[in-house]
Amino acid sequence: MANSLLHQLLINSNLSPRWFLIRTLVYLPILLILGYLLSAWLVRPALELAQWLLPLGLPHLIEAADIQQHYLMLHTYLGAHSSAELPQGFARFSANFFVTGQHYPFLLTLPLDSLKYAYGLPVLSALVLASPGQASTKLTTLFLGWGLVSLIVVWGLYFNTANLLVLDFKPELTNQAKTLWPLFNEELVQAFIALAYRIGFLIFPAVLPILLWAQRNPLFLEQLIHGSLRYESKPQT
Amino acid sequence: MNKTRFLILLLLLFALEWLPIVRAELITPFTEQLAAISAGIMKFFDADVTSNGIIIQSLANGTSVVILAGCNGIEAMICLTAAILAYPATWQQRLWGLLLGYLAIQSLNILRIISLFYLLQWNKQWFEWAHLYIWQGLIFLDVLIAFIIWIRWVVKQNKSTVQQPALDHG
Repeated sequence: MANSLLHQLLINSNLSPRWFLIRTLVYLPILLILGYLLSAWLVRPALELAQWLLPLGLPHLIEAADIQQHYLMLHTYLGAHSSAELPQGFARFSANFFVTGQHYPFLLTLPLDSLKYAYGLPVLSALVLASPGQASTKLTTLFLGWGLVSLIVVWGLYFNTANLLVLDFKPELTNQAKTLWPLFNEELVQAFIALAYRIGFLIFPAVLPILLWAQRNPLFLEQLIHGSLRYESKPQT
Repeated sequence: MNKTRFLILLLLLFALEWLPIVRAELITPFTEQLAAISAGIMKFFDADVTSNGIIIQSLANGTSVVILAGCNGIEAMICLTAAILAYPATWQQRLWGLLLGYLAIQSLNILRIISLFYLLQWNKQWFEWAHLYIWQGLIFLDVLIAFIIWIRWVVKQNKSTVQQPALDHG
């Protein structure tokens, strides 16, 4: 009985939809916890890429960027005369205020959580592990998924920052941002940033990893839908 | 499934959802109803819960949650709609798929709202983790499962309508 259950959960490759679902739901919580515990390593390449790309993509706005666990800390040039004028928990004291006479004593630092965009990886991993297939194929899918999720994280972090700086913050801050980073065709670019942020936050992290799984497992999907493989190889005569 | 049609529909519906008139006339009233239903369910075991618009609040300790975009399940419904419309089926089959799929998504979403409301009162860090990490994945897994079940039903139904005349003739 226990052996049969283990066989269905871990080994059996001829899965019914019910067993596939059970296997996915067994793997998912384990992988969510594992993904969270390993998040600092898993998102590191994405954060390194974002750390390099964001200052280039948001010219004149970012003083420095550093990585703390699964957070990207973006230190901007935007500021205020008191920390209370900045969003709560987002203020830092300017190191150059007394040296260079920088305009604002308090500057804005954005803590950006990459996990908001990376939850597709445990979902994809659960689907991959629950599906039948060779270990090498599964590993390739997981590796591709990790790359895809890294790109989703970079997209999410970039448009989250752009959206905060030019749209979401108080007018005093967004005006500073627009002075430092003048937008060509402002209304159109703002609309694009808002749409790209929402897609990057609400659609890409969940949909793209699932689409990758579907793309990599067409025969198993066929089996799930029809109950058996429609395109079985013909017996050799 | 026609993947190009799926992606075009997905982006089109997502852009539609973003229009101010759609938000004001459809999304906000829907989200308010969702908050009212969730609060109504919680009142069965917690008399201190109340809802006002898109806000659910505990009168006992003042904790409140606001149901924003991403928390109302609309994006998951949009994904399911795009997938169902991109799959070859009759309009009646699609309508059943959408109705039952929406029901599955929103049932799980209400469970999410209720669990997050109490999780926030217990531990803010766990709330953030569950809110941004766990539940997002589960809701979209729900979409995938609903979609696969619907396709199986469509295929089975189409098979039986094809076989029926053959049996009649036989």
